[in-house]
Amino acid sequence: MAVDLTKLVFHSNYPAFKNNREYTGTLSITGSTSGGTNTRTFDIALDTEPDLLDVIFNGNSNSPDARPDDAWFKNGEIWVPTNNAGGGNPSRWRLTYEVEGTTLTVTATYIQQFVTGETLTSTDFSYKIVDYSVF
Amino acid sequence: MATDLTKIAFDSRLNYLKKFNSVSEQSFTFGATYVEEDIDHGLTYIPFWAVGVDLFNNGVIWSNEYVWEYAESSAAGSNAPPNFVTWMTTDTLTVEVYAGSGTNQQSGDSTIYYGVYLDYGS
Repeated sequence: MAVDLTKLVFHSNYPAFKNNREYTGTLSITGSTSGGTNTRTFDIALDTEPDLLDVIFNGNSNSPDARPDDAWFKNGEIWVPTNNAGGGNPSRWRLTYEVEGTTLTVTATYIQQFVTGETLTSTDFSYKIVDYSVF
Repeated sequence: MATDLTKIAFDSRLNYLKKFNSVSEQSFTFGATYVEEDIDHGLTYIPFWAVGVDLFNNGVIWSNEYVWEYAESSAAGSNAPPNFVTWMTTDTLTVEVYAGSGTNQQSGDSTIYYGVYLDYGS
């Protein structure tokens, strides 16, 4: 009997996601802020245009945020200390990302209210990107 | 029929997402504000994960965070809907569920649906 190769357990005529490439690195939020929306953007070059990405971050947390500093997250904020003595709280930066072609752009956004300009204490956060190629 | 070798599903050069264990649901009870549910995995590294929560206990599973348009006055108070965030350490997946506030506040029991996968990354 001829073997029908399309029936192989490890064969599929449909594409499959495979963990193809991993990118890791550290980014830094620095400088000063002003009232309203403050953003920082970071471009990360990818080797190839991705089919599907998973992106996770690691960075400072702060009370009342219960996330420990060593935890990684997909959606959330990192906390950046400032010279704002009156508020007593560090600035809270939400991390998002978008992809165009082979460039992934991470955006950190902080909405500043009730206080004037703040000087930030330079704060690092890490990213990990896994590219799932479709074969 | 000719076999297209690029469609071979197994390629030993690469890692694959394989589910860590068969358990994928955890019940919880909404708290007054936030409630944390810890799911132990003990893998000693950060694995891939995905989480959904039945935020309104009506069979609709929300992935990611529920987003709503805030269109209320401060005088009327907040009616924020339920929401959740997740984070992962080398031994535990934590799901923090916010019950919401005002007329949108949830109570009672509901379910977290999750997957933890092996062989994350290259």
